[in-house]
Amino acid sequence: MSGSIFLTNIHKQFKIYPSKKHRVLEALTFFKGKYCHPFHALNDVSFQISPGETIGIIGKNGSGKSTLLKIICGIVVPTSGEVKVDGRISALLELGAGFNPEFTGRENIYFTAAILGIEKSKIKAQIPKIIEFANIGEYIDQPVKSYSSGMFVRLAFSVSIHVEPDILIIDEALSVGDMNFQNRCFKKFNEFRKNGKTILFVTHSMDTVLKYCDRAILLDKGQKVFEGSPKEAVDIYKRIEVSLPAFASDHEKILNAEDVGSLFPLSSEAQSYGDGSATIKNWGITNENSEPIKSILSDELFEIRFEVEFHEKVSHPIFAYSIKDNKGLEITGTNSSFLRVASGEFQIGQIARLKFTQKLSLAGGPYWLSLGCTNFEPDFKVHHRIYDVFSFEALAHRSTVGFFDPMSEFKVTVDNQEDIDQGSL
Amino acid sequence: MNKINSFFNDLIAGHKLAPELVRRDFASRHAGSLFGVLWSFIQPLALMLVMWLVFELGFKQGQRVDGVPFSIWFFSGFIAWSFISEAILASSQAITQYSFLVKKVNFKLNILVPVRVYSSLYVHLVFVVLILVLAAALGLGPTKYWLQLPYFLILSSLLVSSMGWLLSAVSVFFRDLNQILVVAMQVAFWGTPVFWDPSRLPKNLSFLVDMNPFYYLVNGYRSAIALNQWAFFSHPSSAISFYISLFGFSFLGIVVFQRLRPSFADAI
Repeated sequence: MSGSIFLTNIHKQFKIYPSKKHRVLEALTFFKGKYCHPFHALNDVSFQISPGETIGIIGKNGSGKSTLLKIICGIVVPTSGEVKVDGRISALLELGAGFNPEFTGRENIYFTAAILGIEKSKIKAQIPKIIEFANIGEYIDQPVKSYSSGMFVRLAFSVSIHVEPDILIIDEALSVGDMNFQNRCFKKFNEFRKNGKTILFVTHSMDTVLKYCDRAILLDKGQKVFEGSPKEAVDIYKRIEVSLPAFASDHEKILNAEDVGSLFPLSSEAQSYGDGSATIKNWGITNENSEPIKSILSDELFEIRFEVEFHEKVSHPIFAYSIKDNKGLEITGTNSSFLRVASGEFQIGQIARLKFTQKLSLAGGPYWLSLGCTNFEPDFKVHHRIYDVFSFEALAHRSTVGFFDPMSEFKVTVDNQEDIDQGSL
Repeated sequence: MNKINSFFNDLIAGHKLAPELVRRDFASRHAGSLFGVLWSFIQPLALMLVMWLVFELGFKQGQRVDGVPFSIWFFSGFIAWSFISEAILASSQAITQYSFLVKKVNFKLNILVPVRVYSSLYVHLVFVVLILVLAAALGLGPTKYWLQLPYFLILSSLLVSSMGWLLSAVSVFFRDLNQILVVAMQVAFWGTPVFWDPSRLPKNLSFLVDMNPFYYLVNGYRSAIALNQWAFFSHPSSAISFYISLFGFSFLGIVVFQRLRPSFADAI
């Protein structure tokens, strides 16, 4: 059936040459492999995708995602292994694949369609739709080089969905468009899914994976580490992101706060000040199992941890954190005083280990953590405060307006009819 | 054998796209310039004008011994040569200049070489018409010998295509090739009897001319337009060495292209 993809034991090895000279030397002589060192981009990757599935491929930079997509598209030939793809692929690899900047948008549409083997009359009928979806109006008859990057991507994307593909492949392209356009794209994806078409994503946005994918495939260092539910894949990805092995051993679970600290380097944006009587150190975020995480999920408990070392005798300090969004707006925060926890007396050289445990239903995106140790007795003093210590990601299962997810449930009732349960959208 | 089969399957499938690709190739070479396509004609026209001014007016070499005006004798060979060299240089860059078709889409790349040849052919045809008009105006035709032109035109296209596949594939891995080719074509221009008369060469060196596959083509054009001779097999050794090089280059071009094709995306 068209729309299915089978990959069996795919290996891809690139030959890295110290210089161009060595590449030619090897081609001209019989010393195969003498002048290059091989780089394994993909190592024994196998999976199947059925028609109508929406699959997310995730992994760190350099994990082999893009190479994998190129192999599926038939652009890169695997060193060994078998690729079987049924149906027409429309791929949006990097940005605006195959557009010639000197030509107008319209000419580029015709050309892209011609490459894909679509008749001119067929694409001509689609052009008004393509222009409308891309929302570029009369710019369609201007050379593509005069487009803004947003227009460029919108047009490229619009073309790739209007050429009636069986398989749509998208590599990191959507992050460029504005919210409005992204919404339209995701609407279109849903339409595609309903029509039984296969969609393949490569993305760094865990939100997208959680929201739209039926299944996720996680790659690390060229190997398939996991294949299955997006939720699990994202969890494992978060571990890999902080360079932990994909699956935790019991030993690692007993991490103490010191190990955590080294995984969250102080950002260059951080501002640190205080009266020198205490130092904040070894900060980090962990999940309930004390495993460090770089991103928090809206429905899971997580812990903010840090340590304060005292250089003077201090009584009743207040320990605090606050969270800002990327624009610097303070979203929330609390401290030991608000939480009505008396902190007690600390001697010189003593270290306090602090842990705030909470659930935060933040809207998806990057956030910044600030930490502080202050005192109100007898009057306000800052022992040590660091603004914007490090950034972390919040992952949301669904879109919301504003700063946080109200965790709403929704129901429609109509008179004289049985209740229609809409569930959560 | 399988690989050669798939080469021709790709080529035939690719020809559906050829008109659109040629149109774009032609347009993209001059995109953004005011006079556009005209530039394709200006360079050879300028050279021909200079040659005519210098040799016909300057050195008063108007008539050759055999009574053919120098300009027609020279131009008829020169248009063949300029098509050959233009097509070789353009098609050798067919893959590297279309790198987006290598890296971003799954495309039957071998059509790009004929596409480059076709777009050179377009300019060439205009020159053929121009020179035939000029010859007719000088009272040198039309003659039945003109009928040879399609034969030599097709052979030229086949030879440059086969060289194009070889050179375009190699230049993906060896970019200096294009610079080398520019120099090589300069040398080949003077090495081929385009501008000079091969009959003036000492007898014991004439085999060098016969071995040159381009000479068979240049001489074919010249015989058809200026010399009023049949040139299919007038110099047997020249014809034989041409066909040997044509088959040699075709085989080599196709084999090398198919062999290097899977690595294009890795290297480009």
